[in-house]
Amino acid sequence: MEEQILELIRQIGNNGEEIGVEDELWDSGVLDSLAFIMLLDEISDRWGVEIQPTQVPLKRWENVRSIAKLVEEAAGYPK
Amino acid sequence: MILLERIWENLQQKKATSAYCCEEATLTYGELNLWAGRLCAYLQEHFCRGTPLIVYGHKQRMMAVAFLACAFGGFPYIPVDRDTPLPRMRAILRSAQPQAILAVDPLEGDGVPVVELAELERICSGTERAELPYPQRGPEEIFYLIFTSGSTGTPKGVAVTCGNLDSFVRWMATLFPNPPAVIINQAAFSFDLSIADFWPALAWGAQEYVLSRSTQRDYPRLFSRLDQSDGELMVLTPSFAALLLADKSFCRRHMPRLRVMFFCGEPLPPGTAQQLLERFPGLGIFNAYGPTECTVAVTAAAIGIKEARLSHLPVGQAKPGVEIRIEDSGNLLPEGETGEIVIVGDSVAAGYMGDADNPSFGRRDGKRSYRTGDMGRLENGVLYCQGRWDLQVKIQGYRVELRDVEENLCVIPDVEEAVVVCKKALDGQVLRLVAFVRMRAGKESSATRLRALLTQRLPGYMCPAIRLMERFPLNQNGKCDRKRLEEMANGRTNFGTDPADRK
Repeated sequence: MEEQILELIRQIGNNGEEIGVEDELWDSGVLDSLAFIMLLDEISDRWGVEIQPTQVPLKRWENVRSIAKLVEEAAGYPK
Repeated sequence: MILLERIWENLQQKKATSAYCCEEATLTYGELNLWAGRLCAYLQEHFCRGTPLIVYGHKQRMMAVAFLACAFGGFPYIPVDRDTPLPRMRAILRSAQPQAILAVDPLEGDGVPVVELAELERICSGTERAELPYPQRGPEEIFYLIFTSGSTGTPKGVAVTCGNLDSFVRWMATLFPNPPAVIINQAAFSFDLSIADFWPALAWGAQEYVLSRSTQRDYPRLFSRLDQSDGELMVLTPSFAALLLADKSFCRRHMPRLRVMFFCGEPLPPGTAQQLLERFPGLGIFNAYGPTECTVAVTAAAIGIKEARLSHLPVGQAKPGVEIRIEDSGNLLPEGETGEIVIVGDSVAAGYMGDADNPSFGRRDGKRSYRTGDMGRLENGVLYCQGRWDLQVKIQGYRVELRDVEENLCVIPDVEEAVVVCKKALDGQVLRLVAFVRMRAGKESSATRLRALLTQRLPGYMCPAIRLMERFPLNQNGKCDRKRLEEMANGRTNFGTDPADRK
């Protein structure tokens, strides 16, 4: 999952080509509001989970690792 | 000035009503009057009426206090957001030559006197009863100066007069015969969309309810602020609406009082309007249009279910006091034909600071006129916008000259050439800027490093995604093929290697 999210963010983020799984995504500008909406759409298309952003603390969008965990939980993957 | 007279009455009569609500605190009209009154007295004592003052910060309550103190004291104010990088700030200081900076957030003044927050608070919390004086402003006095992107790489200050703003607020009052009690603000104060909420709110005796930048990117916090707002009117950009719509709980149940949304700053996609009308049945939507040079907006169209089905939304009819002309090289075109939108009348600003001869400003039939550079056509007096003929774009509602970004990239050492284009959604909305950069021969850099350097020079919304190129595609004239680069940015061609392109 981490790899897939990483690949996704490298595609839709701003200058995300060189990021790693633990790099912060917001202050660095890789994610902004538009990239974020695209990310939500892609997560919904690829894993069939509709994440309501209001239900998720900002901290969980912090980096690729935390997003991967979030998507796994939302998709009901076994831990 | 009618606007300030109305506000003055509200300050006297609505002392206990909340006027300004930000995360740190709420200010009543009574408190606003006392604080701004003391600051106004201080400004009048120390500075010369009629010369500009910068108000620097974000959306703290002291910002509202400073704007009122400047307005009633006869000082043109320049709102500058704390997001503004230092070189940009310096360019504004050079152009505006302000007497002082009222610094609600910390800032180095570069030789210009700075009144810091602690000092502002000391002034405002004085013991003497100094209320705001009855307003005495002439229609040609400058009310505010807003700096916007300029094609040379230096921002331009647009000088908006008291008469301009009076005309705008009078028009807003006709659009809202039943004025809202709470108005939600999205835009930073350095972006003139905020003028459409801040000043009408105070003129109506309503509450200005602001959303800070950090709240806007934190969904749980943002939605809880919205739920608590009792907001009846939202003034926002279509991009921000799209962000809100990404969560299903953005609907009538959570914001039962929301009656109207006022959009300006970039084209409103019909799909966004449709979704809003589904989530908020019966919602009023205004799709407004106007450049900063013509005081926020000069046309507005009401968008209902019927209009939202159109493939391209109208921006409406001209406000009173303004005539919209469609011209081709200065010649008036007949209705239905596409040409440059020229705005004539009492909304046209006094001009650019320090650039009195700018050819965009002129006169038609004895009235002020402004050539927008926007393309459009009129149908039965209703205006439809059709993009730009030059290299100016709207991103997240902000106006950006692509040349401005290019110039700022080119001053980075070892950058040889930079071309900035837009990545667009299928409906034409600008998603982001993409810069193609060529380094000097033998010099290397990385996109991350260039971007980091650029963010020190330009606000975040102006910073593009960067792609390094060995060489640029050329067109038949041997010039850089901007079209081709646009296609590459949008993933429609396979020129060169392009790792960031989507499958």
